[in-house]
Amino acid sequence: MADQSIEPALIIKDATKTFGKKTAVDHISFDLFPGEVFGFLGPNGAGKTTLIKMVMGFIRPDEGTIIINGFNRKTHYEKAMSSIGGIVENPEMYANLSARLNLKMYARLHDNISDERINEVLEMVGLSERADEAIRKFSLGMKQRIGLAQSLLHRPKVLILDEPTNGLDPAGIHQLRDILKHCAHEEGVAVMVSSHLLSEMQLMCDRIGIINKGKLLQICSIEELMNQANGSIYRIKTSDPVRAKKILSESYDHSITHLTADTLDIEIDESQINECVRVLINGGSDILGVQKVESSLEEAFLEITGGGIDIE
Amino acid sequence: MSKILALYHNEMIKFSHQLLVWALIAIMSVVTILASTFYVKMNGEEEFVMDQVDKSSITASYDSAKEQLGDPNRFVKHSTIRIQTSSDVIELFSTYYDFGEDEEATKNLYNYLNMSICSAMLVNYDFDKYPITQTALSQNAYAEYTLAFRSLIYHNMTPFGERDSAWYDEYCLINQELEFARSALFNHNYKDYVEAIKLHYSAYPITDTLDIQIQSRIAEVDVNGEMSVSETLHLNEILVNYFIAKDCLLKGAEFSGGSYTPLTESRRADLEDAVQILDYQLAHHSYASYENSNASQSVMFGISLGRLFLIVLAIIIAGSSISNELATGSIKSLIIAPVKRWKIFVAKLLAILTWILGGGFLITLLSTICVGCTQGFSSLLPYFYVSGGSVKSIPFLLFAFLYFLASSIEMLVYVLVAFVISCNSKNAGAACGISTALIMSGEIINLFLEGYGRHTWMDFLPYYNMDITSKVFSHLPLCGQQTLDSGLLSESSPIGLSLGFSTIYLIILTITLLWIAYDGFVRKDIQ
Repeated sequence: MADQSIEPALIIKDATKTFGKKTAVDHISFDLFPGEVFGFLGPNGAGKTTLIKMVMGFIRPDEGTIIINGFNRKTHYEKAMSSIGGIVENPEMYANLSARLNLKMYARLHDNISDERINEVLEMVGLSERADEAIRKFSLGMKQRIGLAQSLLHRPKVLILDEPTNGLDPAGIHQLRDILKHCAHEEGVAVMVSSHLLSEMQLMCDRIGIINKGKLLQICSIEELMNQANGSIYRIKTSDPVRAKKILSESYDHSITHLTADTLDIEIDESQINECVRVLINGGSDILGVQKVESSLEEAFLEITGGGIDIE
Repeated sequence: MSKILALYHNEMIKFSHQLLVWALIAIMSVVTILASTFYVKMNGEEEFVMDQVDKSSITASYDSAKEQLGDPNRFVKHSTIRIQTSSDVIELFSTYYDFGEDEEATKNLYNYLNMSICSAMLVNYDFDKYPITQTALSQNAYAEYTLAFRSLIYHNMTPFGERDSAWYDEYCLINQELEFARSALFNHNYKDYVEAIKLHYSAYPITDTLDIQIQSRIAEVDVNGEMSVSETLHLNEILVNYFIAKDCLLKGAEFSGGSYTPLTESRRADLEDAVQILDYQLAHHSYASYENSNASQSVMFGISLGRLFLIVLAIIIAGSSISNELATGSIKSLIIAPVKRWKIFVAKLLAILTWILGGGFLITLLSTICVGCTQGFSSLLPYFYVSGGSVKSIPFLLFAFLYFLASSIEMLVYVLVAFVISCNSKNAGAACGISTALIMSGEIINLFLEGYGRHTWMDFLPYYNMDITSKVFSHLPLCGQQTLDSGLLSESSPIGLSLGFSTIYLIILTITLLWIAYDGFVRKDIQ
């Protein structure tokens, strides 16, 4: 969906951060384009939050350049930061102040944000009616919403959300997804989302970056990621999978991925399935059914990161 | 700049939404009001009260004196005096009192004489208009008049034969003295009283010029003799110091510890300024009177008690300003905002300062108003100082606030310590606790050091450089802030360090602390 010919909204070049001996972020470079939702995926401790904190100004990179909306963060800090909005970890605000006052205070730090805009974002996240209550009375989901409202207040060019679905109810997640898609696709905001909920990513993101142990392993679209799983998996139902495996082991040894009491998963190309079934029947195995199993993002992910993903 | 203002605005909103802040401000205000209103009642010096002198009391005293003495004529003796002239011998009769060895009778007679004199001389005195106990002049002139009257009577007891030209000169003097004293008492003219005591002292070989000088100065201020006894005593006290100061300047040396020590350059300048200010104050009738002194000290007492709570407030505000935000995570919305981190730092510091200075001004204003309402606003003297050779003054409220600032340096340092810890830790409790503990341990260390005596190296301890009040305001006694004995004539800076040294010392201390705070918040990563 991203138009690669236009100027990136966020450029990260060689970003590196070391804490003691541990390199949390290791020479990461990527571009984020207006109008796309970019998913940032990685196991716990992969460096997602460190990278986000680096972009948002919490942590100084040891090395590397961050350019936001054409402004280098180092030399034009305020101009660069005025184009960025987001939530890092949990949204936390001044608990004893009302949601509206929190937004007003945040608005004051930006240029030209009207009270109408505050009402608009409150409306957008569905908090208009409770805007004058103190934040401390809010549930985590409501805090997420108000955090989102704050992030969107100044119409940022880059929106960065760290695990935004945390604490949201299904309706809230749905709403969030709509808001993010609206922002990206209609308003041309470059959205970066980190999450460990892969299913979420699948529904939300246009592109995905996979990070592990501080290194950016791959950037690809959802389709590309799913195709990486070398073809499709076919589940063959048979009364004796062990025997079936023996029959197939001569020609398809490396393709058998999974075995249960009555099924056998085999990862082969669509063109090969005919031959495979023939081999089984010739070998004397009975076939009760053949079913194509969709390859999932998780499997692709596990393959790329070499396991260790936290799957809910 | 606009970003700093916006951040500052936000900081002020945050603080103003804390219940604790308002609770402490309320307590602080109440304490200040009570302390400044009741200071005089709690601590007020005793009024100088004299026995009532009026017509009936004089009559009563006269009657009792007469009764105790009995018939005065029983002591009268007659004698014949034989005077040998060149051609003749004249015999004259003389009358005199003779008590023999009877001390009791002598005492009674003196008492009787005194009371009869009083009774006689005050026949036409308007006690209702000028009650003798109320004004200093009536009291002094009354005493002087009685004294002169008595002198005259005793003088007249000299047997004729012993009266010579010296006797006659003295007779004239006493008559003059009596006349001045009478005029002073009956016309309420202080200048006449001064004339009377000048004549009185002229009879003695060693004349107390200081008293005459002082009384002349009082006469200039209190021409119509309307000042109260305590007020005059206070003025007297001021003038004693004033003339001693003048004397020191004249001699170029100061009498202390049993010997004269030469005046240092700064000490001389100090004394010269003090004398100039006093001249100005006396000329403008705005020297620190008894009432001024009470009023001024009431205000300062209110401020000093209110400040105890301001310290608590300031330490809580400074100690929690950053660490609380780090702990709750609300710092995030500041970091994400398009503002450089040093601006956040500056805005927070400014906001803390605003609350402290605002609180300081509040307690200054409250105690000034309370004292003004209870003791009269006119009793709050401005602060006088010498600049460019002429005497200038600043209004009391401003002076009181500046005094608050100068005396709050120590507090500001401890607040800064709390802020430093706050910048470096998520633990607001630690920030408040450690700085409070520092205050207490500082007090304890000072307690020990005081017992240890003064040494040169102590000049470099923070404690001895933090109280710059007496260094900034070198003429506090002149506006009633301290008793004159402790101020005007003793060294104005009890610690042998100059204002310049203390200022540089404090600037270095402040910059160091600010740098640690800056390093902790601006340069470090926020996890």
